[in-house]
Amino acid sequence: MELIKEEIEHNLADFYLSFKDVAHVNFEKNNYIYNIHNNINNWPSFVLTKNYNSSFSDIFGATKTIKNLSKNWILESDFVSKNKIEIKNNKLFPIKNWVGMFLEINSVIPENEINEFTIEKLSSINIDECIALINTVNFNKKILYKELFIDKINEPNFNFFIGKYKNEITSTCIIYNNNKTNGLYFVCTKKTHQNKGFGSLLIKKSINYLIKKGESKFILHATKMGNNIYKKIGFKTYSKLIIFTKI
Amino acid sequence: MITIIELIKNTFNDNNITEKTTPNDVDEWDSLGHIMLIQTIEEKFKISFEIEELLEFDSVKDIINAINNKIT
Repeated sequence: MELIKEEIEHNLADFYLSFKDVAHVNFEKNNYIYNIHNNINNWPSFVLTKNYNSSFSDIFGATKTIKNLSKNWILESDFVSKNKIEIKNNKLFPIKNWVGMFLEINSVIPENEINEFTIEKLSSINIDECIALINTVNFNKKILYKELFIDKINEPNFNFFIGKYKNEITSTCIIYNNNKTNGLYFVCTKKTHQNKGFGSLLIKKSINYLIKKGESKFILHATKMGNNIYKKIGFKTYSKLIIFTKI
Repeated sequence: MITIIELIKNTFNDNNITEKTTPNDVDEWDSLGHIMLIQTIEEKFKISFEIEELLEFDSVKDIINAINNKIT
Protein backbone atom coordinates (compact mmCIF):
# COMPACT_ATOMS: atom_id res chain seq x y z
CA MET A 1 0.00 0.00 0.00
CA GLU A 2 2.83 2.45 0.84
CA LEU A 3 4.41 1.72 -2.56
CA ILE A 4 1.17 2.51 -4.35
CA LYS A 5 0.80 5.74 -2.36
CA GLU A 6 4.29 6.73 -3.46
CA GLU A 7 3.51 5.94 -7.10
CA ILE A 8 0.43 8.16 -6.92
CA GLU A 9 2.40 11.09 -5.51
CA HIS A 10 5.43 10.57 -7.76
CA ASN A 11 3.27 10.86 -10.85
CA LEU A 12 1.84 14.14 -9.55
CA ALA A 13 5.31 15.48 -8.78
CA ASP A 14 6.62 14.47 -12.21
CA PHE A 15 3.58 16.01 -13.90
CA TYR A 16 4.15 19.43 -12.34
CA LEU A 17 7.91 19.22 -12.79
CA SER A 18 7.44 18.62 -16.50
CA PHE A 19 6.39 22.25 -16.80
CA LYS A 20 9.74 23.98 -16.92
CA ASP A 21 10.30 26.97 -14.70
CA VAL A 22 6.98 26.67 -12.94
CA ALA A 23 7.67 24.00 -10.39
CA HIS A 24 10.37 22.55 -8.26
CA VAL A 25 10.44 19.63 -5.92
CA ASN A 26 12.37 18.77 -2.81
CA PHE A 27 12.81 15.53 -1.00
CA GLU A 28 13.87 15.95 2.59
CA LYS A 29 14.90 13.65 5.42
CA ASN A 30 15.00 10.26 3.76
CA ASN A 31 12.05 10.85 1.55
CA TYR A 32 9.48 11.32 4.28
CA ILE A 33 8.84 14.91 3.37
CA TYR A 34 7.95 15.59 -0.18
CA ASN A 35 7.52 19.15 -1.31
CA ILE A 36 6.37 20.58 -4.59
CA HIS A 37 6.02 24.22 -5.27
CA ASN A 38 4.12 24.99 -8.41
CA ASN A 39 2.95 28.21 -9.94
CA ILE A 40 0.57 26.66 -12.42
CA ASN A 41 -2.56 26.83 -10.35
CA ASN A 42 -1.18 28.15 -7.05
CA TRP A 43 -1.76 24.74 -5.59
CA PRO A 44 0.41 23.03 -3.57
CA SER A 45 3.35 23.45 -1.62
CA PHE A 46 3.02 19.78 -1.13
CA VAL A 47 3.97 18.09 2.07
CA LEU A 48 3.33 14.46 2.74
CA THR A 49 4.46 12.66 5.81
CA LYS A 50 5.48 9.13 5.13
CA ASN A 51 6.71 8.68 8.65
CA TYR A 52 3.99 9.37 11.16
CA ASN A 53 6.49 9.47 13.99
CA SER A 54 7.81 12.75 12.66
CA SER A 55 6.53 15.78 14.50
CA PHE A 56 4.69 18.68 12.95
CA SER A 57 7.50 21.06 13.86
CA ASP A 58 9.94 18.77 12.00
CA ILE A 59 7.96 19.39 8.84
CA PHE A 60 7.99 23.13 9.30
CA GLY A 61 11.68 23.00 10.20
CA ALA A 62 12.61 21.03 7.10
CA THR A 63 10.59 23.14 4.73
CA LYS A 64 12.03 26.41 6.03
CA THR A 65 15.00 25.64 3.83
CA ILE A 66 12.89 25.77 0.70
CA LYS A 67 12.79 29.11 -0.98
CA ASN A 68 9.56 30.63 -2.23
CA LEU A 69 7.41 28.28 -0.24
CA SER A 70 3.83 29.07 -1.11
CA LYS A 71 1.12 29.34 1.47
CA ASN A 72 -0.56 26.05 0.66
CA TRP A 73 0.20 22.77 2.34
CA ILE A 74 -1.11 19.28 1.78
CA LEU A 75 -1.15 16.87 4.66
CA GLU A 76 -2.39 13.32 4.94
CA SER A 77 -5.60 13.07 6.93
CA ASP A 78 -4.21 10.50 9.41
CA PHE A 79 -1.43 12.92 10.21
CA VAL A 80 -3.94 15.75 10.55
CA SER A 81 -6.02 13.76 13.05
CA LYS A 82 -2.96 13.29 15.24
CA ASN A 83 -1.78 16.90 15.03
CA LYS A 84 -4.96 18.98 15.22
CA ILE A 85 -3.74 21.30 17.95
CA GLU A 86 -0.43 22.05 16.27
CA ILE A 87 -2.19 22.64 12.98
CA LYS A 88 -4.52 25.13 14.63
CA ASN A 89 -1.66 26.79 16.50
CA ASN A 90 0.20 27.22 13.22
CA LYS A 91 -2.88 28.89 11.71
CA LEU A 92 -3.39 26.37 8.95
CA PHE A 93 -6.90 26.45 7.53
CA PRO A 94 -8.34 23.51 5.55
CA ILE A 95 -9.72 24.49 2.17
CA LYS A 96 -10.11 21.32 0.16
CA ASN A 97 -9.68 17.57 0.39
CA TRP A 98 -8.58 14.99 -2.12
CA VAL A 99 -8.20 11.25 -2.22
CA GLY A 100 -5.33 9.55 -4.01
CA MET A 101 -6.69 6.70 -6.16
CA PHE A 102 -5.13 3.87 -8.11
CA LEU A 103 -6.36 1.46 -10.78
CA GLU A 104 -4.45 -1.50 -12.19
CA ILE A 105 -6.19 -3.04 -15.16
CA ASN A 106 -5.30 -5.12 -18.21
CA SER A 107 -8.58 -5.39 -20.09
CA VAL A 108 -10.57 -2.50 -21.50
CA ILE A 109 -13.34 -0.96 -19.40
CA PRO A 110 -16.88 -1.47 -20.80
CA GLU A 111 -18.15 1.75 -22.36
CA ASN A 112 -21.78 2.84 -22.31
CA GLU A 113 -22.05 4.66 -25.61
CA ILE A 114 -23.80 8.02 -25.88
CA ASN A 115 -25.05 8.94 -29.34
CA GLU A 116 -23.06 11.70 -31.00
CA PHE A 117 -20.36 11.65 -28.29
CA THR A 118 -16.82 11.27 -29.59
CA ILE A 119 -13.33 11.72 -28.24
CA GLU A 120 -10.23 13.07 -29.93
CA LYS A 121 -6.77 14.36 -29.07
CA LEU A 122 -6.42 18.05 -28.44
CA SER A 123 -4.97 20.09 -31.28
CA SER A 124 -3.70 23.66 -31.41
CA ILE A 125 -6.97 24.58 -33.14
CA ASN A 126 -9.15 24.08 -30.08
CA ILE A 127 -6.70 24.67 -27.24
CA ASP A 128 -8.22 28.06 -26.34
CA GLU A 129 -11.65 26.50 -25.92
CA CYS A 130 -10.25 23.69 -23.77
CA ILE A 131 -8.23 25.95 -21.49
CA ALA A 132 -11.29 28.16 -21.01
CA LEU A 133 -13.34 25.09 -20.06
CA ILE A 134 -10.76 23.90 -17.52
CA ASN A 135 -10.40 27.37 -16.02
CA THR A 136 -14.15 27.80 -15.67
CA VAL A 137 -14.93 24.37 -14.27
CA ASN A 138 -11.89 23.67 -12.14
CA PHE A 139 -10.73 27.00 -10.89
CA ASN A 140 -13.50 29.53 -11.39
CA LYS A 141 -10.79 31.95 -12.47
CA LYS A 142 -8.39 32.21 -15.38
CA ILE A 143 -5.17 30.75 -14.06
CA LEU A 144 -4.17 28.15 -16.64
CA TYR A 145 -2.59 29.46 -19.77
CA LYS A 146 -2.32 27.84 -23.17
CA GLU A 147 1.41 28.60 -23.26
CA LEU A 148 1.84 25.95 -20.59
CA PHE A 149 0.18 23.31 -22.71
CA ILE A 150 0.92 24.24 -26.29
CA ASP A 151 4.29 22.44 -26.22
CA LYS A 152 2.78 19.41 -24.55
CA ILE A 153 0.26 18.57 -27.25
CA ASN A 154 2.74 16.55 -29.27
CA GLU A 155 4.83 15.15 -26.39
CA PRO A 156 4.47 11.36 -26.27
CA ASN A 157 4.00 11.19 -22.48
CA PHE A 158 1.14 13.71 -22.59
CA ASN A 159 -2.24 12.56 -23.85
CA PHE A 160 -4.69 15.43 -23.90
CA PHE A 161 -8.16 14.07 -24.65
CA ILE A 162 -11.30 16.04 -25.33
CA GLY A 163 -14.88 14.77 -25.42
CA LYS A 164 -17.31 16.21 -27.93
CA TYR A 165 -21.08 15.98 -27.93
CA LYS A 166 -22.76 17.05 -31.17
CA ASN A 167 -19.37 18.46 -32.15
CA GLU A 168 -19.21 20.75 -29.07
CA ILE A 169 -16.35 20.27 -26.58
CA THR A 170 -17.92 19.07 -23.35
CA SER A 171 -15.10 17.55 -21.33
CA THR A 172 -11.33 17.30 -20.97
CA CYS A 173 -8.87 14.78 -19.54
CA ILE A 174 -5.07 14.91 -19.57
CA ILE A 175 -3.25 11.65 -18.97
CA TYR A 176 0.43 12.03 -18.13
CA ASN A 177 2.81 9.06 -18.25
CA ASN A 178 5.93 9.23 -16.07
CA ASN A 179 7.18 5.82 -17.28
CA LYS A 180 5.66 4.09 -14.25
CA THR A 181 2.04 5.17 -14.00
CA ASN A 182 -0.49 7.20 -15.95
CA GLY A 183 -1.91 10.15 -14.05
CA LEU A 184 -5.26 11.72 -14.87
CA TYR A 185 -5.28 15.52 -14.55
CA PHE A 186 -7.69 18.35 -15.29
CA VAL A 187 -10.63 16.04 -15.75
CA CYS A 188 -13.63 18.30 -16.11
CA THR A 189 -16.98 18.63 -17.81
CA LYS A 190 -18.72 21.81 -18.92
CA LYS A 191 -21.24 22.86 -16.27
CA THR A 192 -24.15 22.72 -18.74
CA HIS A 193 -23.30 19.10 -19.56
CA GLN A 194 -22.60 17.69 -16.10
CA ASN A 195 -24.40 14.65 -14.63
CA LYS A 196 -25.10 13.25 -18.09
CA GLY A 197 -22.28 10.73 -18.26
CA PHE A 198 -19.99 12.72 -20.57
CA GLY A 199 -17.13 12.97 -18.06
CA SER A 200 -17.29 9.32 -17.09
CA LEU A 201 -17.37 8.17 -20.70
CA LEU A 202 -14.41 10.39 -21.63
CA ILE A 203 -12.39 8.93 -18.73
CA LYS A 204 -13.24 5.36 -19.77
CA LYS A 205 -12.44 6.00 -23.42
CA SER A 206 -9.19 7.79 -22.55
CA ILE A 207 -8.05 4.99 -20.24
CA ASN A 208 -9.05 2.36 -22.79
CA TYR A 209 -7.03 4.16 -25.47
CA LEU A 210 -3.93 3.72 -23.29
CA ILE A 211 -4.77 0.15 -22.21
CA LYS A 212 -4.81 -0.78 -25.90
CA LYS A 213 -1.30 0.67 -26.09
CA GLY A 214 -0.16 -1.61 -23.26
CA GLU A 215 -0.59 0.69 -20.23
CA SER A 216 -2.11 -0.80 -17.08
CA LYS A 217 -1.51 1.52 -14.08
CA PHE A 218 -3.57 4.66 -13.59
CA ILE A 219 -3.58 7.16 -10.73
CA LEU A 220 -5.47 10.32 -9.88
CA HIS A 221 -6.38 12.71 -7.10
CA ALA A 222 -10.15 12.97 -6.79
CA THR A 223 -12.27 15.63 -5.18
CA LYS A 224 -15.39 14.70 -3.26
CA MET A 225 -17.45 15.41 -6.38
CA GLY A 226 -15.52 13.02 -8.62
CA ASN A 227 -14.85 10.30 -6.09
CA ASN A 228 -17.88 8.14 -6.88
CA ILE A 229 -17.36 8.29 -10.64
CA TYR A 230 -13.84 6.93 -10.25
CA LYS A 231 -14.95 4.23 -7.80
CA LYS A 232 -17.52 3.00 -10.33
CA ILE A 233 -14.77 2.76 -12.94
CA GLY A 234 -12.72 0.62 -10.54
CA PHE A 235 -10.30 3.02 -8.85
CA LYS A 236 -9.49 2.32 -5.20
CA THR A 237 -8.53 4.88 -2.55
CA TYR A 238 -5.00 4.72 -1.12
CA SER A 239 -4.54 8.09 0.56
CA LYS A 240 -6.62 10.92 1.97
CA LEU A 241 -5.17 14.39 1.68
CA ILE A 242 -6.21 17.79 2.96
CA ILE A 243 -5.03 21.08 1.46
CA PHE A 244 -4.38 23.76 4.04
CA THR A 245 -3.60 27.37 3.53
CA LYS A 246 -1.60 29.39 6.01
CA ILE A 247 -3.62 32.29 7.35
CA MET B 1 -29.81 39.57 15.88
CA ILE B 2 -28.21 39.24 12.46
CA THR B 3 -29.16 36.06 10.61
CA ILE B 4 -26.54 33.71 9.26
CA ILE B 5 -27.55 34.45 5.69
CA GLU B 6 -27.28 38.21 6.29
CA LEU B 7 -23.83 37.68 7.75
CA ILE B 8 -22.75 35.78 4.62
CA LYS B 9 -24.33 38.45 2.38
CA ASN B 10 -22.43 41.16 4.26
CA THR B 11 -19.16 39.23 4.16
CA PHE B 12 -19.26 38.90 0.38
CA ASN B 13 -21.22 42.11 -0.26
CA ASP B 14 -23.73 40.13 -2.33
CA ASN B 15 -27.49 40.40 -1.78
CA ASN B 16 -28.29 37.51 -4.13
CA ILE B 17 -27.01 34.84 -1.73
CA THR B 18 -29.57 32.23 -0.72
CA GLU B 19 -29.43 28.89 1.10
CA LYS B 20 -28.70 27.19 -2.19
CA THR B 21 -25.70 29.38 -3.01
CA THR B 22 -22.36 27.59 -3.33
CA PRO B 23 -18.85 29.06 -3.33
CA ASN B 24 -18.76 28.69 -7.12
CA ASP B 25 -21.67 31.13 -7.43
CA VAL B 26 -19.91 34.03 -5.69
CA ASP B 27 -16.79 35.64 -7.16
CA GLU B 28 -15.50 36.75 -3.76
CA TRP B 29 -15.99 33.29 -2.23
CA ASP B 30 -12.55 31.88 -3.00
CA SER B 31 -10.32 30.19 -0.45
CA LEU B 32 -9.40 33.45 1.23
CA GLY B 33 -13.02 34.59 1.25
CA HIS B 34 -13.96 31.27 2.82
CA ILE B 35 -11.40 31.70 5.57
CA MET B 36 -12.68 35.21 6.26
CA LEU B 37 -16.26 33.94 6.40
CA ILE B 38 -15.48 31.11 8.82
CA GLN B 39 -13.47 33.40 11.09
CA THR B 40 -16.35 35.90 11.11
CA ILE B 41 -18.85 33.16 11.92
CA GLU B 42 -16.70 31.68 14.70
CA GLU B 43 -16.26 35.12 16.25
CA LYS B 44 -19.87 36.20 15.87
CA PHE B 45 -21.47 33.00 17.17
CA LYS B 46 -18.65 32.13 19.59
CA ILE B 47 -18.25 28.66 18.14
CA SER B 48 -15.35 26.68 16.74
CA PHE B 49 -15.36 24.25 13.83
CA GLU B 50 -13.34 21.06 13.56
CA ILE B 51 -11.12 20.56 10.49
CA GLU B 52 -13.39 17.80 9.20
CA GLU B 53 -16.49 20.00 9.57
CA LEU B 54 -14.92 22.79 7.54
CA LEU B 55 -14.37 20.42 4.64
CA GLU B 56 -18.07 19.53 4.48
CA PHE B 57 -19.26 23.06 3.67
CA ASP B 58 -20.42 22.91 0.07
CA SER B 59 -23.20 25.51 0.28
CA VAL B 60 -24.73 28.22 2.47
CA LYS B 61 -27.24 25.64 3.70
CA ASP B 62 -24.42 23.38 4.99
CA ILE B 63 -22.99 26.31 6.96
CA ILE B 64 -26.38 27.23 8.42
CA ASN B 65 -26.99 23.62 9.50
CA ALA B 66 -23.55 23.36 11.10
CA ILE B 67 -24.00 26.60 13.04
CA ASN B 68 -27.49 25.62 14.20
CA ASN B 69 -26.17 22.26 15.40
CA LYS B 70 -23.60 24.04 17.54
CA ILE B 71 -25.73 26.74 19.06
CA THR B 72 -28.87 24.72 19.83
